[in-house]
Amino acid sequence: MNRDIAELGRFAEPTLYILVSLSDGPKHGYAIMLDVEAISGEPLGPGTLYGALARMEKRGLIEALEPVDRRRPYRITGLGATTLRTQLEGLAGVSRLGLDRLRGASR
Amino acid sequence: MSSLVSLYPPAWRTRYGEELEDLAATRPLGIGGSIDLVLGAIDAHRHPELVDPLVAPPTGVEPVSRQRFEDLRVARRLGHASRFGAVLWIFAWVVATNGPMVGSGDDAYRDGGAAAPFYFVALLLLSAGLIGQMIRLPARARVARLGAFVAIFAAVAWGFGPWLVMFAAVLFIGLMLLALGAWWSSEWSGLAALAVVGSTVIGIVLVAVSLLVGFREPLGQAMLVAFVTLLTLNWLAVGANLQRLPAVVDIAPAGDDPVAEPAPA
Repeated sequence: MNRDIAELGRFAEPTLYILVSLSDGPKHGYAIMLDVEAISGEPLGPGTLYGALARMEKRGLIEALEPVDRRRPYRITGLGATTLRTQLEGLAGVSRLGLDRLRGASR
Repeated sequence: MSSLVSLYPPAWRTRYGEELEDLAATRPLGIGGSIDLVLGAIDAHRHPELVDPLVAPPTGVEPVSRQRFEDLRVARRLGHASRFGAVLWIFAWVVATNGPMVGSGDDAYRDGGAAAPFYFVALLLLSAGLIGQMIRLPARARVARLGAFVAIFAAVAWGFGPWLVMFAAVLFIGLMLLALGAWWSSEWSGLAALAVVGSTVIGIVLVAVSLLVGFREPLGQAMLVAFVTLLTLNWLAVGANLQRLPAVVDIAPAGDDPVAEPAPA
């Protein structure tokens, strides 16, 4: 896992999911929560969500937009997109390697 | 949900409180979500630096009404009174320990009666500072307000004589509840709370040891001086955070002028 994200400890995995969620456009907290649940299959609690959002804002991975009604959307930044891409390419490499080894072992 | 969000530090509530409330209004949290929120609040207290001070400045941006602003000014005056009480408290003990000797032989004792008015007024002024705390503390700081409320009456009652140790005990419990509750609610700094709790506990231990062991002079006198000095911190701590008034950030045309609530000490 990318070192910057890995440093987030228990917030590392939610951070990755949130970045994936925001990669197709800005979303507010509730929409992120639903999207992450759909991606990961696990519920995302509000304390974890906002703990991760605060860390991501602090690191410049996302930015808050003007609130619409009571809901404030968040948008992925350029740094966030780069971090996500690096992260996903790393995971894709691990995935390819693992699948190749499994195929080799099954022959 | 609101009660769980109140566990977060003020800056976090200012920044994320409305969004968290909105989440709960949209979908019930359940037990798992509530536990997650409590863990999030603990994490927020451990990492206050995560909230951008430019977005939620430490000086606070919670709007308060003009009436609230005036109330806080009253609380500030009561804080001044409490700090003056600290001076009177020391003065009262100086007068008491320098009173004339009465009687002779083993029955001789020092008459500290002249100190009684100063002693009473000092505790009355502590009570005034505690009333200021009741004004200053928000409703969510229930434990702190309960402690202040109890201590207000106990302080006045103890003012009728230092030998009324039952009232002293209630006062000390009230002060410690106030300090711990205000710290937990992020209204007092950890240092202020530690000063009150630490000085009170150490002061009580000193007196208890003196009474049990029966120190001879000058050690007994030194113990008394330490006790009085330590307890003085209570007057100062109670008065300290009452001094900060909100900075006016905006003024509405009439009536309900929003101003920024001062940051907790």
